[in-house]
Amino acid sequence: MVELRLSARGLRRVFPGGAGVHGVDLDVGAGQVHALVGLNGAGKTTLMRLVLGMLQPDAGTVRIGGRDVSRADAMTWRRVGHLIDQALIYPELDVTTNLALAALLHGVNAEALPATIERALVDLDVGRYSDVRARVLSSGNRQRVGLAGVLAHDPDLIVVDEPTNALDPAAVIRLRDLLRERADRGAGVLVSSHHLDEVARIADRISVMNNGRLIGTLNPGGVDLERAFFTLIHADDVKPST
Amino acid sequence: MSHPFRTALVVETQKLRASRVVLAASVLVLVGISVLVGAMTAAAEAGNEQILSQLGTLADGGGWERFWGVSAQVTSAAGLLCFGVVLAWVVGREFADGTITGLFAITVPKATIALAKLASRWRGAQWSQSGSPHPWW
Repeated sequence: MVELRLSARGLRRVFPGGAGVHGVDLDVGAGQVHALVGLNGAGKTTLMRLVLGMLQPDAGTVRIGGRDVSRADAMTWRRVGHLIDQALIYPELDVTTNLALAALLHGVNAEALPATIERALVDLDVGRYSDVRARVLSSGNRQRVGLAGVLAHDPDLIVVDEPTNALDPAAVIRLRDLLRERADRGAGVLVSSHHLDEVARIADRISVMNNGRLIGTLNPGGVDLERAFFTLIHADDVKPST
Repeated sequence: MSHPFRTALVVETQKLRASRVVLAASVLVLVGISVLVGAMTAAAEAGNEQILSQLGTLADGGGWERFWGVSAQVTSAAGLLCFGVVLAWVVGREFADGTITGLFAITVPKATIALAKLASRWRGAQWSQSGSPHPWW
């Protein structure tokens, strides 16, 4: 049986007006890339915030590496890398220092810091900007640095929301390879995206989210994912609410 | 894994040392205090009644005694203002820069980060005199 890196059961968080997440069960196993796809406002980011403890659920539980998120300790969070909304990048600091601070906050020891930073610079190909302040980087390069910080401490669980935002095609391919490689080494990856063809290339499982619920899955190896996606969305939208 | 407070202090000190906001606030406070103290002392020496009434018991003294008294009064008010501005900035910037989401799901609790934000000014001043033992430590 595959070890679960992340497990959510009956997760619910409803905002005024009714938007939010309405009872979601979600698993991310070791070695698995689980992609979340859905239209804007479907609840993907809210779901990711809930699993990372950024939002308190109205109901339901989240377990990371078997431990309840509400009681997660430093050793639990040491194994997690995430990028939700904005990367952890301070504009007044250079790229090397930003990566160092991200690694420290994720539990990397001072002794291991130089090697960790070096690997992160190479992984996302940002070595040429190592001494450059983040404020002068393009948004694409800032995103690269942010992703380098997410992966630098070699997490077991990677949660990334729209990670290819602002990336050029070369960086998209590089990121895809990195996420696949981390998963092949045993990490669990939860990734959201609007690009169906992109997630189809790396995902083991694609879950479709609509109106705060997981409404079905897509076959990553299937043909015409776009049609299958919109068929699911349409069927859910016309379904009488219970 | 290092102690969370030590890690948070290193991180916050690095941010504070590189910050233009803190540098600008410090310079403005220094210049502002000098100008205010100079102007108030000069006005008191010239016998300006409004200033003398504001100085209270300090108005009865003169020379260095009045100068140091005025300096203490102005510095305490300006220091409080500067502390408030910098504190508001070091916390508010995490929201303004969108870095707050990166401070969740890490090995350092948010309360520890908040404490380190308060403590980092003292640590930063210490390092600026002696130098950090490690680039990030």
